[in-house]
Amino acid sequence: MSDIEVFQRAPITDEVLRVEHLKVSFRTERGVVQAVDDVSFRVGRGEVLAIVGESGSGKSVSAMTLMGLTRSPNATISGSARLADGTELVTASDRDLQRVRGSRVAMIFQDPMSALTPVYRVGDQIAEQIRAHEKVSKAAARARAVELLERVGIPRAAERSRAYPHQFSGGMRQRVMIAMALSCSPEILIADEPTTALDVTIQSQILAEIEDLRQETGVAVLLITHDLGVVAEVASRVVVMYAGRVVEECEVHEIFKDPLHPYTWGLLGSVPRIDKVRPDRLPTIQGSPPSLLRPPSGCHFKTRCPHRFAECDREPELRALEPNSVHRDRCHLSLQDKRALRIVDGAIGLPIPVEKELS
Amino acid sequence: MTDVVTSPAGTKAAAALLEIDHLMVMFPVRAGTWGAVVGHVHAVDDVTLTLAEGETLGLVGESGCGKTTLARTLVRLTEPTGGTIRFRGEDLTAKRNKDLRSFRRYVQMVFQDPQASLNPRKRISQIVGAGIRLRGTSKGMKARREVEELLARVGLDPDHAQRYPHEFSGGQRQRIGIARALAADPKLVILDEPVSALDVSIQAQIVNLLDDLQDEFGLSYVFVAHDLSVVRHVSDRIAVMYLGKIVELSSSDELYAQPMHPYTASLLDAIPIPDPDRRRDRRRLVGELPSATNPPPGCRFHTRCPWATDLCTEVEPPLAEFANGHEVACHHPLNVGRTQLSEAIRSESSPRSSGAELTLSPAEAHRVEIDEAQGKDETP
Repeated sequence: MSDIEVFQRAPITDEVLRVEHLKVSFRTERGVVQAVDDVSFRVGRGEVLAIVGESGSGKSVSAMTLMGLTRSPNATISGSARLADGTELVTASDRDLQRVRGSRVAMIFQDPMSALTPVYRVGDQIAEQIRAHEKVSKAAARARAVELLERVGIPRAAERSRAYPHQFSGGMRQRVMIAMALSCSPEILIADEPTTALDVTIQSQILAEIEDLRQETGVAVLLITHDLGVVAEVASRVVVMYAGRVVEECEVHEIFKDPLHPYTWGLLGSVPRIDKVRPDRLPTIQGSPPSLLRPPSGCHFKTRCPHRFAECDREPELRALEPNSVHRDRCHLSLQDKRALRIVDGAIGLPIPVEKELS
Repeated sequence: MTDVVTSPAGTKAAAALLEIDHLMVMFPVRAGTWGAVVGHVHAVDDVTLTLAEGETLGLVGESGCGKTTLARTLVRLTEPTGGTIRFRGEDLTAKRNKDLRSFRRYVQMVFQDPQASLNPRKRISQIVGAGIRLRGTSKGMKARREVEELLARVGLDPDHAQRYPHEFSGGQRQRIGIARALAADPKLVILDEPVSALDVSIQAQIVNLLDDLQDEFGLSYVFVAHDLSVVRHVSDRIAVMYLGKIVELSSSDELYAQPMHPYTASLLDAIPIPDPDRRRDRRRLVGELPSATNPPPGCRFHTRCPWATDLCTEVEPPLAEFANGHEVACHHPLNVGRTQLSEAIRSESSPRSSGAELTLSPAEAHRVEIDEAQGKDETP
């Protein structure tokens, strides 16, 4: 617990990544999609920052943009994303980015099968990455690949390094991905829904693995997830995204104990809990997320928010409601109102007007 | 609905809508140039279950445990290798072609991936209308009106009936899948991971919808899920599967409060709870699911079980049935006292290959450790 306490309240002094005013839009046949709309966040050394949101919230696009994976003729990217030494990722040339990718910023994906090449042995794939960034012999790179596989808990690593991706189970493939990501000791590991495709038992193994590696190597983790359970388990800080914007940012305890944005309440409310008495009906958030082609003016969440009022047509700022607080949210409600309104039937959630319920 | 669980075995069979009896589904494994059969995948291995009218049975397990194969076999999308499935007393396994078609009216299925299970070239009105035609009672304008009513009932705009599946979001597509299943006016709906592909806030909407529809149309559900937290909300009873076998069957509330099978306990333990104060050192399940082609002898879970003894490696445990209907296939069940153990009987649902007599004993040596762990997991 003690290392978690350190993150409490402490401002990030030693940051490895600073993202400022990041905007990503895509021109499509049906118009411009503003996928990421002015997103800023920082990642401190050795911390786990979770970006939480549902499909279409822009969480994955943000992460992929850091790796230069959203660059395309129809994409417009602006803003800044800088590493500790000032390396700018948004405007970096493809060649510079190639040097950063894999060695200083590494990424693991939701579906390890499509992220690995099916026609190469996994050991060779890891060795190839090592040799892309460091001048070492093939034999040395292979030996390191075996060490890495062993490190991430693959039994009989020497033998298994000669196997192909399809010969591994989903959980083992994700371990291979983690081994590959860590092969060049990166400063940041971006994990995009790393356990979503896995069974719960395997998920808990993989999360433990990531946590062990973080403590051992001091790598900062940017965890993209939709699962608040996973967040509670491993994150130190949380950024909640909705429809391309950051709607709340705080320490991990605050998101569960003192959430300030109505969307966060709805998200917390709709998670079925096995540790509580089961309610007759699951609390929900009414409606569905807005189209990013034509997002609502003002607050993006107002179309689904039962607490909306006239003010919500004006765009809210992401701001701290208490002085010197690192807890920021994007909502016009006052702190007192928030604390009163978020409790529904004794738990945090959103009330559903009976006549309006879309069940 | 809970009285179904507690009633004696005889009356349970009388009220049963669906009776699955020693069901086997095996897939041949072929190898070599000539495709010689070198083994079988025991996807569903001697499963016996009943489902009462109006009941929801949850079917839970990790990928590869056979839950989806079992669900698909219930609508004969997969052919059983052995055993019988009876729907209202009629043997489905014997049905062919035309007979089978008339039965499908009564048993419908909703699939996990609404994108893949809706024909992209058909309009919603055609997709949902197919079920109404199958029923054969309405035509023309009347059928059209029924489609619109159904769409409205599942929370879609009836004006969108002429649209194509790609014009809808994931949650809306799943609503279409549900409307299609309901169009045939079924008695039983097999839900194969209906909310796994959806966002949490949408998941909750769909679960509530399914709840409402069940009351309104008098439906029975078989709800397949790998997610123990969602399945708890919808199920009256839950069956936990491991490598093709039922390892535990119990009323939903009891399963969560007192899991008896070590596998169920570790599944529950693996669920991350959205509360950072409850970050805990879990008893993490080691290893992965063994091969279903060559399953371990004795109890199939013994390779990963922290409480396994020599007995577990030799004798397959039969299902022990306790007074309240809770059944567990384990030689050393958790959360149960000596008196209860001595009163348990060998369930008639036990697989034929399992031990002829119950050999129950608490995992004595580990008892203290188990109690500690359970105490820690006590809900606040």
